[in-house]
Amino acid sequence: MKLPLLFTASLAFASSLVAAPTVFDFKDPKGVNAVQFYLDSLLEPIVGTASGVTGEITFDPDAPAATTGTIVVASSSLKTSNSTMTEHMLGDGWIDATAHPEITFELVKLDNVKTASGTTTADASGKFTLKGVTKDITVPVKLTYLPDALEKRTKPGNKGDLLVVRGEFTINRADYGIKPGQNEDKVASEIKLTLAIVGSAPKA
Amino acid sequence: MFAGIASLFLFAYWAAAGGNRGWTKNQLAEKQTDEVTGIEFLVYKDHFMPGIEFLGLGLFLLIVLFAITFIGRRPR
Repeated sequence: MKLPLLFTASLAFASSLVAAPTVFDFKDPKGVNAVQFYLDSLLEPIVGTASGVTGEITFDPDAPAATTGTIVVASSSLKTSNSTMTEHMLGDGWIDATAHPEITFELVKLDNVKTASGTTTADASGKFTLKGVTKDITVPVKLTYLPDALEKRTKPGNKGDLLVVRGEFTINRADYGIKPGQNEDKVASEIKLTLAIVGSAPKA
Repeated sequence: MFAGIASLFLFAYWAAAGGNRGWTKNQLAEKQTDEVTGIEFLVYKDHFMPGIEFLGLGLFLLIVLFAITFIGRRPR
C-alpha cells in the first residue's frame, strides 16, 4: 500500500523539478528596454528610440519552440535628438500617436528553433501592428535565458529569471499607411527596427 | 561690416558647438550598457547642438541684412 503512494509522491516531486513555461514581464524597472529605429533621410539618418515597452512572453527553456506572447510599445515614447522632429513624427501625418497609441507585435510561432548554451535563435512569425495596420511578419530573434539573474539586476533576495530578446527587422512605412509614396526623396521608405529588451520572472 | 563680423561669430559658434553637419539637436543620445544583460540602450541628455540649417539660416539672414544696408543709399 505504501509503495504506490511513495511512487506517486516521487513522480509529483520529479515533475515539479521539470521547468514549466514561465511568464516574463517586459516592463523593465530599470528602463533599459527600447526599440531603436533608423531611417535614411536627406541630410543624415534619423535615429531614435521607443522606450515605452511592455508586454509578456511565456517561455519554457525546455521547449523554446512553444514561446508565445505580445510586446507592446507606446507610440508616444518614440523620440529623436530633435524635439521638433519628434513632435512632427508623432503627429497625424506620420505615426499619429494620439489615434494609435500602441505599436504591437503578437508572437504566433517560432520556426527554425536552435538552442545552444542558454541562447535560442529562431524566426519569430507574428502580427505586427503600426498605425492601426496589422501585417504578418517574420523576425529573426535571439532569446537568451538567464536563470536566477534577476537578483543581480535588482536587489538581493529578489529571486527570479531573466529573458533577453534581441531582433532586427525592416518594415516599409508605406505598408502601414505612413505617408505612402510621399517624401521618399527626403525620408526613406524603409525603417530598420532593432529590438533589445529584457523580461523578468520573479520567483514566489 | 556688422554682417561680416556677425557671420564670422556665427560660423565660430557653430564650429565650436561641434560643427554638426546634420540637423540641429537639442538632446544628445548617450549609449550605455546594462551589465547583466549586455543590452545597449540610449540615454538622452539636454544639449543644444546647432546643425547645418541653423548655420545656413543665420548666414542667409545676415546676407539679407547686408543687402538691406544698400537700400536707400544714394550712389556717389
